[in-house]
Amino acid sequence: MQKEYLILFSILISFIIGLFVYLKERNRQTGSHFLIFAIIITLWSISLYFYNNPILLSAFEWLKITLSLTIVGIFELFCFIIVISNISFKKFKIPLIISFILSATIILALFVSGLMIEEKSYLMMLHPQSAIFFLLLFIYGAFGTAILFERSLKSSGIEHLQAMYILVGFGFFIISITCLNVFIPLLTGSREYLWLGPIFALFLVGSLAFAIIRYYLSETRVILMKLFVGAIGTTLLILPFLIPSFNLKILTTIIFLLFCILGYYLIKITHEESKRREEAERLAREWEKLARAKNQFLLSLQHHLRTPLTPIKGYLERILEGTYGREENPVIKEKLIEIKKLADTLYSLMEGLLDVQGLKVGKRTLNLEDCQIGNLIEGIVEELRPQAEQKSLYLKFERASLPTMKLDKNRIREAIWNLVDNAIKYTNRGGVTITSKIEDEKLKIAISDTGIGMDKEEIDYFLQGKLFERGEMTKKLYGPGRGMGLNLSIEFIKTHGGKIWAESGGRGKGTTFWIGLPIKVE
Amino acid sequence: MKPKILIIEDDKPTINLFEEVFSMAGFEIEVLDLGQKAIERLKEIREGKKEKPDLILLDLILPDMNGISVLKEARKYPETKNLKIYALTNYSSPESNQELTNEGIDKILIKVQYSLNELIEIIKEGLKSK
Repeated sequence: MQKEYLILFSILISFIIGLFVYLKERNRQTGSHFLIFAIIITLWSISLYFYNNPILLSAFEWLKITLSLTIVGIFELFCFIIVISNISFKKFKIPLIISFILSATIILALFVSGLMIEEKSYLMMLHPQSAIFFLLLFIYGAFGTAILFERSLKSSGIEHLQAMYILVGFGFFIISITCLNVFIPLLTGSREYLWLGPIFALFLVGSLAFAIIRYYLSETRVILMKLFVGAIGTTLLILPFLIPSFNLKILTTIIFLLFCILGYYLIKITHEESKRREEAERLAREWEKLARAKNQFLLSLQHHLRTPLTPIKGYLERILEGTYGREENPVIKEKLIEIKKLADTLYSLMEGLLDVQGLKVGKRTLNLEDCQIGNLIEGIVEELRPQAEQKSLYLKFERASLPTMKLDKNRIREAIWNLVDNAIKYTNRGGVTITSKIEDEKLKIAISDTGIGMDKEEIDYFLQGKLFERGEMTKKLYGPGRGMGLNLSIEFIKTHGGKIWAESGGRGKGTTFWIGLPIKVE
Repeated sequence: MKPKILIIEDDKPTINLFEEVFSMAGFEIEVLDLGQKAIERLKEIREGKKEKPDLILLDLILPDMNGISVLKEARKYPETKNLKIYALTNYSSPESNQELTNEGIDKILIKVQYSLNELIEIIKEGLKSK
């Protein structure tokens, strides 16, 4: 008798799961295909039950119905796998039509007496030609598995998990059903475990449902919590009526009231938590989308900014080379040289900006090589010396013995260059001194000037990374366009795992910019 | 005989500049401004209706298609497989560079990063090593 209850229970649960998922996924094809599949499984379980306990029809007739439903069921399961894998039916049009016709033929053949099975006093005889029935099941199974396997390999995240759930449920179902129908009867000669089929089918239905409604699981938790609180609440409510003792009646009533308050908060907390989780997931998806969009935008910006700059630079180069004739007017020539310099500045600013953004989003990587930083700084000093001399400033590099480090030469050069260049710009008397030392396994480079200096507030602004924030302070600090080079320096040093900071005695007392780089001595 | 260079490029000012500079440098220039035209040209080369250029300069962002498709088309057939093709573009990403390398590009040049004289030198060097 327990056996019957178990089967009826699994039939009921299959149907309820089907309905539940359908209600959740009403607007999608997956929902309706799943419901159809769950209904077929329910009908299949019922007919299998009647095959074992025949009513109305003979066991033989029920067997025909069960076998037909097996074919219909696995066909629908195949359709479901196609739908959930986001594959267009069109791609499988011909195989689907062929298998549909084949399925229908087999079902018809099942009902033509003696064609596939034969009744011999409750011992059902399978004819050799019914092998086609198993072949069809095998083909559906193999194709379904292949599609799911490919999807689980190609996808990631939720889609990957979804394919895996279905694959596990599907695989388990196929193996268990094969055992029940083939191996156990072959080994033991008994077919008495066939009744377990619906229970294994329930496992399949469950794993498919779980794969579909994973998105709603947090909501399901709220429902479960409500059910749990409701069940305990009802028990506590009935309890006082069942207990004879008056004192205990009072006690249980108080417990019930307290539980109501507790239950209310339990549900509320679960609800809020699930909302938060949903929100967090949504934000994470949104963030990913934004990151992708930013990336795309940068690539397109790169192309669009570089395109007009190519002929601008090209024509200026040719004009100044005298390709179109010598420019006799010295003023025009001087202005053209000025324009060429500005175009080069624009170009390097733009490349720097794109470079920093590329490093940030991981589209570009550092080109690390052995680098003698002392030589690098000396080169920069030599390059910028004319600028300093023009303003009658000194520019000194007090060289210490420095290790060879693995660095991206061009970017480190750019970072230091910008800081020294800025120091010269903001100094009108005295000069700029560069020193370096090794401290706490870090290379520290100081660029000290005797220039306008920074007050505490400005240094705080700088340290907080508010270089590009709008406001009086930033305008005062860097003027229009000046912050760009500094920003590049900060980012380049940061990608090397280092940092830049500033010190100053206050207004008029000069500034020292520090670069700290972790030493990676080879 | 002048070396023949086929430029696949859609930006008009860039075309004008390249035409001027490269013809003065002694190359015979032809410009195609659509990916489709390039694909058709490759077909004509296969059928022997048109001569093979000594070098193709290929932009990656074309109005009708990605330049990589043109490269793929060229590499697909034995007649055009060994054409010397340089990507001369302002678009570069690690992915596109990887794809170009996989498809057998001969060189990747970022237009804006070279002066015209440097470009001419690179091309002359490339034409030498046939």
